[in-house]
Amino acid sequence: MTSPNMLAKLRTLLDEASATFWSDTECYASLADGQREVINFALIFYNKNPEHIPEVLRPLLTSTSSTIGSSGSSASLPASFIAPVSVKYSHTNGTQVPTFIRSNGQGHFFKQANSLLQPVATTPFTYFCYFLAGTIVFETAAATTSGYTLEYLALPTDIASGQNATIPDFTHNAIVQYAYAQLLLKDKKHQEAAQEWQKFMAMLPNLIF
Amino acid sequence: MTLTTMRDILKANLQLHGNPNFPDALLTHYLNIAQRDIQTQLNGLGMKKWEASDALTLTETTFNGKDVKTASLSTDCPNMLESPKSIIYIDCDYLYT
Repeated sequence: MTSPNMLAKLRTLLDEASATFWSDTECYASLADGQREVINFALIFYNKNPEHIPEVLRPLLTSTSSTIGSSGSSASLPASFIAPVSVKYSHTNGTQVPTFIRSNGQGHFFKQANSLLQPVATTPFTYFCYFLAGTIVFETAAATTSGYTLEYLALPTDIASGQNATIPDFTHNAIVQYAYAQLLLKDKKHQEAAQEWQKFMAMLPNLIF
Repeated sequence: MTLTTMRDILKANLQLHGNPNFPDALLTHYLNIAQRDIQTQLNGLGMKKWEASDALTLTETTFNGKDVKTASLSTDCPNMLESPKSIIYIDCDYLYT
């Protein structure tokens, strides 16, 4: 569905063919919120099993490559970063190899101290990284300059009059349903909004595969 | 089979690819334990690949009042399996002084 089609479908549900009570800007903002909520729901499943990216999230897959200089070991994450998919690294900025992603809890310090779970900076390389707020940290610092490639799930582009939804077509009905429930609240139709919200929640599990 | 292949088989069979709790160093460690266990079970017998020989440095001493010569296996045969059964034979020149 294109964004004007989503708007038209939403206006049909609201029984308001053209903007009077609900402006187009409000409608598009609600559709954009709906897209993010569908993604948030899919992320629950992705985080439980990062080996499988749900179909909903695949359009969000993005890659970035960069270097870290001055023997540093961390880099800022892209502003659109939601969740990591894969990391490759070379502490000499040579051929990058797959890098283990560790949790950033207390346990990683103990693993760093374990000789069998430490990074290895000689062939075959073993690199580890973990994520802090807005930062990726590599446990092997750059020899001088290091190189990395980060594949990640990025925030979607918000739905607007000239901007279609980022996530696939089969999610669009749910997005419209979310927007419908949200916009009913403006009209103080709390009971109807709650019912429509329940319909939206019932749609979500079918979107994950 | 190379060490890399053995590690790859372990990773494939146990679905360990990308698991940060099982880096190569740990898998190599497990493979070494397995190899050592097999060596111990077989006592090295018939396994020419593992056969090795070392010269012993004899030291005169007395044992129960008798003159004897001893050698330190841990020093002279550092790679010997930890079992007397792993000794295939000892060649000794009794005239050697």
